[in-house]
Amino acid sequence: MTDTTDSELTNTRESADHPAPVDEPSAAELEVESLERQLSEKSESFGRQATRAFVTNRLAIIGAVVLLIIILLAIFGPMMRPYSFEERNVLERNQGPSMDHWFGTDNIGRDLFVRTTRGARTSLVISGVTAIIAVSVGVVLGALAGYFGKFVDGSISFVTNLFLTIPLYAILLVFGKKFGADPLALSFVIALFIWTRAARIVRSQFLALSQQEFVQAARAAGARGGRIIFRHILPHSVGPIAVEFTLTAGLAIILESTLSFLELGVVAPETSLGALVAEAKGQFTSQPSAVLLPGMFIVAIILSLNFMGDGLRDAFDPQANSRN
Amino acid sequence: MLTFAIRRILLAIPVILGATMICYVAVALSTNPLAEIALCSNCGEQARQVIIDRYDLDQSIPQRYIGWLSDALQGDLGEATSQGERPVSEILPERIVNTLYLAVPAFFLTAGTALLLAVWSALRQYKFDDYAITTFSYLGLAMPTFFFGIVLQQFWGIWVPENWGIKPFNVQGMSTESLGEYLRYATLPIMTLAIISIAGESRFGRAAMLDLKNSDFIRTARAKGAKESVVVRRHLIRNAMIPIATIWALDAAALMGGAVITESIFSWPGLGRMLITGITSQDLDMVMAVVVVLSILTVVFNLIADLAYGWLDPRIRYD
Amino acid sequence: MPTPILSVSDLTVSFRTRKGTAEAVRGLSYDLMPGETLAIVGESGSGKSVSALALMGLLPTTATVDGTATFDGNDLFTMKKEQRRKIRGGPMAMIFQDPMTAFNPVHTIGDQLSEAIRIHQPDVSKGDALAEVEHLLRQVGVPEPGRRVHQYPHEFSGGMRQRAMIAMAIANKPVVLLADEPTTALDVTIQAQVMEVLAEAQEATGSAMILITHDLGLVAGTADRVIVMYGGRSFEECATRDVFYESRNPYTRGLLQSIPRLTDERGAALSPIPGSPPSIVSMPKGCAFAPRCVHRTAVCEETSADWEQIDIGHWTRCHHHDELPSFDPRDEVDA
Repeated sequence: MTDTTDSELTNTRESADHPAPVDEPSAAELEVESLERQLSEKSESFGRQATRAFVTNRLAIIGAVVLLIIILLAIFGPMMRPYSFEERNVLERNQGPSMDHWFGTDNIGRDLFVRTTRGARTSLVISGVTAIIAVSVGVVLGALAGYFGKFVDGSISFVTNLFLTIPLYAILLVFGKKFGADPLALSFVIALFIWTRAARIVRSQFLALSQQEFVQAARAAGARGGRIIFRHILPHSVGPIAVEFTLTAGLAIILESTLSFLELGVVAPETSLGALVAEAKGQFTSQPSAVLLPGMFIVAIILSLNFMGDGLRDAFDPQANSRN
Repeated sequence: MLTFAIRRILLAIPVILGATMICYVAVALSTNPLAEIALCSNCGEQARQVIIDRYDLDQSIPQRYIGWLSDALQGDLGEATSQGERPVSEILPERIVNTLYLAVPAFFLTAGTALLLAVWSALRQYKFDDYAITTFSYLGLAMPTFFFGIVLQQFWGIWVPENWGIKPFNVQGMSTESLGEYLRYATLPIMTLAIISIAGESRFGRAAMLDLKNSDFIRTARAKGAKESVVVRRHLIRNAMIPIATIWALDAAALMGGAVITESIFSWPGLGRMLITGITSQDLDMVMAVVVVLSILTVVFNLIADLAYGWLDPRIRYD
Repeated sequence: MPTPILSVSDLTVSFRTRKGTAEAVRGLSYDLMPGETLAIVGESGSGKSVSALALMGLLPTTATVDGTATFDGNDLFTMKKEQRRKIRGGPMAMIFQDPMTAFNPVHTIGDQLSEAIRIHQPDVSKGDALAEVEHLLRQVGVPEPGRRVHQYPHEFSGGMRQRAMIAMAIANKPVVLLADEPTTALDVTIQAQVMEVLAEAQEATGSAMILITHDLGLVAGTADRVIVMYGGRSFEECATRDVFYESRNPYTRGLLQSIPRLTDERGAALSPIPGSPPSIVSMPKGCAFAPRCVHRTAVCEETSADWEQIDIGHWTRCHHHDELPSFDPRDEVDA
């Protein structure tokens, strides 16, 4: 009496007719993982995958924790000390870190802890907004291009390529002079030139996914384009999009801080991490921490974002090569 | 191969034109040569009119673009207000050459080092070397160019002379009098440009090679009895060069753009410095020239990347 | 009594994985006679490919190999690396499953086959090697070899690529050919052609062949002897004819029964073996096949049976091999 369920039937049939090279020794680990996944009942949702990424990847956890600490400092830092970020205390200028001034003071007596955390706040907000705008635009355009193909794809790709030929730093400097003072405008300007990355990735994702059977099935059931995109394909792309978000945010903060450093971005009275480095330039010998601390904040933020991005990427595509 | 190349080259031309168009619009929208006049209290209407005439500010942007384009194609790129009205077409080549003095050595340094590091860490995966190199890559990628540059500049320019009494590197300006002088001025900016690119490229190269390491054809090469060194050279590296060469071409374009910041920090009189000076003094002609040059270079390098890809990978030559 | 050209004894291959140690091959033993064709049959995950890669020394560093493999008087596993390298691609050559990925896409077929020749015959010049390559391609039936030699792998069709791979393997007149699922990646219509080419090549060089496959049909036409593998273990070994008509192993029988036949009635139920092969990281205790075996008893779940010789040239691994009912695969299957 053959007593098989459909899945068991498929399993034996599959292995008889189309043996995937699971005998490959270099794929032993992959075989184990894919078999486990095949045999489990449902495919994992984004949430579970993301959680798995973070739990198994120590670097990603460290990154997330560090970023969280910095965010908390950015929010609460300026309130933690009794000085305002503009308050000058000329008598106490050029001091190194101390109990009173945790990060020391700059050359006109302003408390650097407050200024640095305030600068971090500005930088984080600008990068965050920039990344949200850039990735949103990129996702929409990439999805449209990848799903509808042909003419839509042709024109969107043409525009994308056009934007890619514009020299990034040069054009940002040009725009920064005019729009830099307003943080929101600055976000828009930066986003305007970095959306192309997300668009490319989403486009290739959608190009691939649109060919798959579940899309044809949805079409056969009468679903229209927009619905298919949002309810069917997009959930599958969340992984790479999340990874791209972290990378875009990292790029955004590099660009913002570079512009601010050159005084073509955030300008006084506001401050950002890049501007702080520029201000402290001259103090390098007398008080290197004034230059190094804001810079290390930037490095820490970007490192954390990169670690998190890598962790996410590992979770969604375990066959990706960076086995760190 | 030839048709592939010609087709790609022909396609690049409209892209270059489109790019110049966007650049012109961007520059036109963000610069205001009249701003200076607004601050000047005893400049009359006549001064305003001079500027308006000079830059055709009473015309629409598309008209101005056409005007600029026709002038440019005849070799007239305007005059640099911040450089005593010298013709831009005179200043431009000088500045390009100066930037090349930085960019070219930086490129070779980057390409060579990154390739070495990538091969090394891919072959010694999971061992200490690999982790060390990977850590370095991560740090390099997370470091903004200006931060690295400023730290280098302040350290070697001020801290070392003050504390150790020597000054091996100069941190402002440029010299080409002799190789030694050149190196004294150029080493730090070149390192600034290179280190961050090395971090990115070696990471990419390592990933590309790890991807290939487990390929079937690598196994076939070993199955033939080939020596390991041959497998690495003829099969692993040769195939990894396909993505790596394209990254080199793309990075070369990025290098020219990134020089902007480095030149600013080290006061190196190249294209980047020209841009910044132009922006701060609202020198429209200079700014436009630099942006267009960089844009054309980007297109050219992308084209080179495409062609290199076709040359190295026989599979895509015949599309 | 002729001496075997290859004698494998108690071959065990284990992998270090993130989930623990996985044994892909457990205690495999067999002898290969000169000129003989031995088929190793099994499902995916049975360890058949791994055993061949172990012989060639092509396993990754995460693999540990135990046991011995005596080739031409020397144990392959304790040889010096350099000595072993000289055997690979020369006296012992391998043909891989997917000819598209097995060739390097950026070198011409001519280059890659010449490389194979010049590794083992370093005195041969490039020109001579290329001429020899043309000759080999002609031998395996690739049309216009003079032109094809300068082409890239993606310009060959699937069947031609596999022929080229066969040519590459026989370039140095091997005495043992390992063919790992040589036709699985090909269209059915091409499969027969390629198997013919393979048979002719084997005859031309007089080499012994180990044919690894999951396809019992392939075995019937080409192999002298068959080993059936499951869960990393050998389950039965006998002459080809005996596998089909005198099988004394439930797994082998299950395999035979699961093959649909042209004479089956339309709409008749297929009879696959229920369940699926075990994951190599979590092997069942006792007989690997017990969970799916209709004849299993308590002892099967406890211990794995010994490799027993039940007739001349016939071994099996089953606690109940002598209690199995008589079996003719041509019979109708019981529900």
